Amino acid sequence: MNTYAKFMREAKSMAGNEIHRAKIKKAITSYEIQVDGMKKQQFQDWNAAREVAAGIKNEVLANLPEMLQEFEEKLTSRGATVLWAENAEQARHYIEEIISRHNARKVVKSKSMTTEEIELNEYLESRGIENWESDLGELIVQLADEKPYHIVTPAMHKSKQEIARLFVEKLGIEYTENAEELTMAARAHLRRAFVTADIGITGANFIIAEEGAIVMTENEGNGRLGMACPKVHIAIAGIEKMLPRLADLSLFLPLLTTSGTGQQLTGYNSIVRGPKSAAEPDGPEEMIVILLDNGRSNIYAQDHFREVLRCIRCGACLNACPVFRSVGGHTYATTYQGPVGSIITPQLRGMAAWQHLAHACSLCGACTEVCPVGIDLHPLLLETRWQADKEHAASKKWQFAIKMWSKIIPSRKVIDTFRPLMKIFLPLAKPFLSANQKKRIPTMAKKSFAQMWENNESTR
Amino acid sequence: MNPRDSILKKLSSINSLQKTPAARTQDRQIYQDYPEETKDELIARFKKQFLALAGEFFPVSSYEKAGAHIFELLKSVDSTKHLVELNPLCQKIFSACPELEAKFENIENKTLAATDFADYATGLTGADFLVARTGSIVLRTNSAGGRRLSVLPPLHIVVATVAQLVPSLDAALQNRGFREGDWSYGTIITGPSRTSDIEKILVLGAHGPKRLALILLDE
Amino acid sequence: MSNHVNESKTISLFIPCLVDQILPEIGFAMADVLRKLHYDVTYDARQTCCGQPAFNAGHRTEAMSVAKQFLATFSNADCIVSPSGSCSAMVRNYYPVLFAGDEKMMAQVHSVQERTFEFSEFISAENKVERIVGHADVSLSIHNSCHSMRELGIDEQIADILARIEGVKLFVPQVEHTCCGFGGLFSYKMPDIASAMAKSRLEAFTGADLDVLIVNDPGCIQHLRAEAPSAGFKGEILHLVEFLQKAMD
Repeated sequence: MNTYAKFMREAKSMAGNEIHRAKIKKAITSYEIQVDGMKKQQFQDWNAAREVAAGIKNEVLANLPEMLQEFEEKLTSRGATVLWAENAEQARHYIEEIISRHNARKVVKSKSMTTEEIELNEYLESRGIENWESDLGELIVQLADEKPYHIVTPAMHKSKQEIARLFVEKLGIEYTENAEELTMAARAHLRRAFVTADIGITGANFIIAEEGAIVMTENEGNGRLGMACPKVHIAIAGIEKMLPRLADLSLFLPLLTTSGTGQQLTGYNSIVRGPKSAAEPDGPEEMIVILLDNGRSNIYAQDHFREVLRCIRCGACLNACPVFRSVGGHTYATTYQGPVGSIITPQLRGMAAWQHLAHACSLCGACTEVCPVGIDLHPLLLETRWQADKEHAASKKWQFAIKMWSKIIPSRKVIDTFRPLMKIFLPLAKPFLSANQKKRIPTMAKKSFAQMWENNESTR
Repeated sequence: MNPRDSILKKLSSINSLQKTPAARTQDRQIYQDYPEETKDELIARFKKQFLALAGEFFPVSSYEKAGAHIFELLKSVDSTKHLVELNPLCQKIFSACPELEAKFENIENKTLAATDFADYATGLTGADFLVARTGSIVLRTNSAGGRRLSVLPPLHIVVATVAQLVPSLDAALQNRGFREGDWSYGTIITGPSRTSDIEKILVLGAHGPKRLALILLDE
Repeated sequence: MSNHVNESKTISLFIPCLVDQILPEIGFAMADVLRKLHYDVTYDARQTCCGQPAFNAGHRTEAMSVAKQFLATFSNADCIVSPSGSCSAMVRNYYPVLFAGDEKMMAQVHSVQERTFEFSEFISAENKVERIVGHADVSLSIHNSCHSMRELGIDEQIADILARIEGVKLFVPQVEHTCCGFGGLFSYKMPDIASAMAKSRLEAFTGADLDVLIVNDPGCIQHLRAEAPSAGFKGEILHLVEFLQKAMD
């Protein structure tokens, strides 16, 4: 089944799934209350703040090659290694090399969408490496043998009952629906993994040019443990994660967190500048940062799409999106879900197979309204549809229909000729349509507005 | 061409971009809740934020009192093993309360594997800055005795003085001294470890310290 | 963008294709209400569609040929008023995207976009809200269309207009605005998602036992009317101008 057919099948099933809808509604309502409250409490002017942030991210995009080199130079001067990966395969190859050089058996991972993008879990599994997701949400989806549902809240779709059953089966605990007890079970289980792992793998929320540092934001401390215990730390970062200066974090961390979870700041924001230094008692002996392109430079090359690289992966556009709320994260079948995922996936993974995501959007603009770095998300979805049309990747059926329509619609005379045909044709089409299609086949008015106006008639 | 050069070449082929630096703002221009920069207001704000995050806050006026609070905190945990990064402030507190010093093992004198930390209930460290606006504690490996001491034990006690209070995060990050020095890791700690990954229910102590206590000395 | 309106201008009706072919009563209602507010109203039947269906589906070449026809029709109009936030937004916000780089067309676009308004926005900008006098004993609520709200910045205008009608009890739902799921061709391409969205949207109103739900976009109206039965919404779904037409009688 192709990606489009699969999407449509999943979308249909999820859109009618009332249990799913109730779970997501509950989660997102609580998110919205927290986020709205925190925006008002914290920011003088949210829009002004996001304009400043957009400006700083534009500065990054304008100077990206220089900043990447500055980052590399500063970080390597402290003994870290920077590797550049053009694609997922190269990135996995680097990791394989590190694993075999250290004869590593056990990896502990913190939450990272970039590692999802390169399908690292599947790869490590295939190589027989013991691999633990350590973020609680990620652990839950890993144990359930699923992909993250949402870039920020991977287990948003799981009820505590489902998690309880999962932990009973996979972690061997007594059944409990108490969130604290479930969390403590995960803590105990993973603590063993942390202190015995050979390699810690993390993502990066930001990388800082001026400082030669990576920045990781989290609440649980699993990221900190993963960078404190194993003797090797590998961080994988998209090349667009750049910020020019360390002090830019004083805007970007609250902006990311407010949009992501409605907190003022997350529990831990770590700044990592290299492996353990000579003066330090502990820390990894080796630190490797893999800078991942994987299609980002193609987005970068397009004037219309470049701004989507400002994205800081806060997840706000997913939560705001009524389509996401209806179909859920898994339906997208992508690493990045929701509006921003529907823009970047066709760019990163091919227009023909993924352009349908850009059509899974009512253009309501809720995403654009909430984006903390001011990305014009819904106009970019329109831009994606236009690109699909230009590249002949759009749906043939709809392309043809619109072509016909555009021949008829500009001429009042032609419309008047076709009108009676449409009145006959539309009801005839109904038997071939699904219930949800059928109900919105309109009933044509007896006469058009133009015809009635001309004859001085009225509808009253 | 190697991947590095290939990526850089692709990125560098776009010449049409405005390279001028962006306008930047200070935190005071951005945040509604930017605190007044008086000592009392900074302490009050830090306290309010820190308590809201479930931090345990102990303002003290002498080394003796600081020591007494630490003593009480140690009584509240199961294990009798505690670790300290013996910074000058801790040293002064220990001098004032000699019985406290015996309770702690100095991390500098030990070689601990990650697995060895399981026995320890407490990590006692200093801090670099306290951020009033957000109730955060900023520390780097040199003030925290490395990376593990402040994250592996279930109770993290921080000792700091009011002179370390700054109004907002930018003051800490722009501080020249902060960026200097031979440190590989720093972290901005805002409350004890937490998660809301199960039905958005807040649980403290997901992976990092379950409890975070601050002894704030104002002489 | 702030559009300025001079007194005593003649209004050219901008009748969306959906109104022209399927819901003509909305067009006549708008004409009626505007006349009651002492405007001269004209209609040019050369207009057929603004091109939004093709533009939104990504077929810009086709959209362009339709949009050119629209621009030609309205080149001499004083004030162009439409009962659709979405179609007005197409002209105002997306014609500049569609014709970007074509200087000659852009001159026409700028001239027409300055004179194009959505109905409630127009009445408010003209300070004619106070001239509305009417009566209707109904409980109602408002579904402002996304494009009206986010593309044109229309917000309080609709409630302000409805506040002029004596007897109206306005219900404000607890939940924030969300899209009804219409989205033009979206609701035909992805009908199951569109239905789920309508259901979620109507949930905000079903408990309130409303007589009427006021909507200011014909697309949303058509969609919500089709979805109301399965979503359990029992009230009438009316365009603002349809409601005003009756209430101002």
